[in-house]
Amino acid sequence: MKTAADLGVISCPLCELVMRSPDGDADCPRCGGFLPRVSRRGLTRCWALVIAAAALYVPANVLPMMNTEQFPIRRSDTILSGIKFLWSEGSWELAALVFAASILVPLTKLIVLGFLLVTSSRRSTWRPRVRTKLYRALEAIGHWSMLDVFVVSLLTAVVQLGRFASVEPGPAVLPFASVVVLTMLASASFDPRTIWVKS
Amino acid sequence: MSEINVDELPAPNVHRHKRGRPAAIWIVPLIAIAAATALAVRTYLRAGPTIKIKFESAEGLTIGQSDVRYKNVPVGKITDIDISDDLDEIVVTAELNRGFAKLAVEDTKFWVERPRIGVGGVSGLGTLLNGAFIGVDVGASKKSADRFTGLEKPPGILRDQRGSAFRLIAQDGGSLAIKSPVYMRREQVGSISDIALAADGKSVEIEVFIDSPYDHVITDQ
Repeated sequence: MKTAADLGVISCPLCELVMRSPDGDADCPRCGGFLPRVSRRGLTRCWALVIAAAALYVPANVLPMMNTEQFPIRRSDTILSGIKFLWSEGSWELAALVFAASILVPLTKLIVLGFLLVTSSRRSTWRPRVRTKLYRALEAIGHWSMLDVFVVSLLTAVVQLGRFASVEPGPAVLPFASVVVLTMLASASFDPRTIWVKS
Repeated sequence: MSEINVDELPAPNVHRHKRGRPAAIWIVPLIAIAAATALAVRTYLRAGPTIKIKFESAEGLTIGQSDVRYKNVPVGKITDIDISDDLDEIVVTAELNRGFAKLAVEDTKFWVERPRIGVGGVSGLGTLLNGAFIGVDVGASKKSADRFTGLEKPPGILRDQRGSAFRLIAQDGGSLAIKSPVYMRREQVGSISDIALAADGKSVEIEVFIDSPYDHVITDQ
């Protein structure tokens, strides 16, 4: 099977005009759109964003996400302790949902992105179809991990009953949101064409 | 299917694109690592010392809710309540807030503040609503410690109370109790800080504390 790169052609991502591969950076002659080459630059970008996301993943999980006060009990929950609490209270469905959205999805994203990056950086030829599917799955689940941030911001706004009940966002909210945004940016800057480049 | 003639395809407009230096993106992970480290350091610095205090009973104390207070200012929180290995006492683990490490010195006194009604008046009423808390009176020692034995009742004299202590020996204790007032010309000048049977059981030792400035009035006569 021949790829477009083998033939020396490239298509414009905007208007889909097929043309000869340029040597350097180029614009589409028809619509003027920028032609991103199958380059290592996207990979570097993606690497940087994934590393940043991984660094922030630690405080996002270790620090408390939400401080709740339900008179006279004060709680300070990290993501994991919150899930444990939900589980022990009998809300298994909710615990499972939060676990999937807040632990599983970001972790899977980081691991899958890391895997795609390593294989693409080494110009691996291992099952490009499987890797492309992984990439598509990654794009699809990307939006589903902000759940915790939504929950905390909603509760903070709604539950403000002075001394009797209040919810405050904890210091983990910012790193957690950053992890989600960074992994989304990383998967967007990953060029799936690098999966098909032959060494 | 006809073979594509690459040369017939249109050529793209090659130009020198203003490329940002590719290294610029590495600022993002650098900032992220710096932020993560800063958060970790801040959390580490904010965490105060953890101390263990032994009490006879945990009545009114709740994990995560009861706090440790110095002069009624919350300075820490109870994080765990456990029973000692010999099952005789309970061990309360408390985490002091950052900056209050200096409260945990060798002779610091801890007691459980509960509502009390006595001759000296009603105390600890606030604990009826909010539950009991652990009171602290800082010691004079400079040596820090992390294990304490708590008092069962609040100490009669706090460290920073000005005045003088006197020991009286009496035939019987009457109906006196800790915090019972001491009057002079019908004016309260102090209170009883401790009352106990003497070791030989033949008398009662009463410790009174006369508040400043009335303690000057007390003479040998």
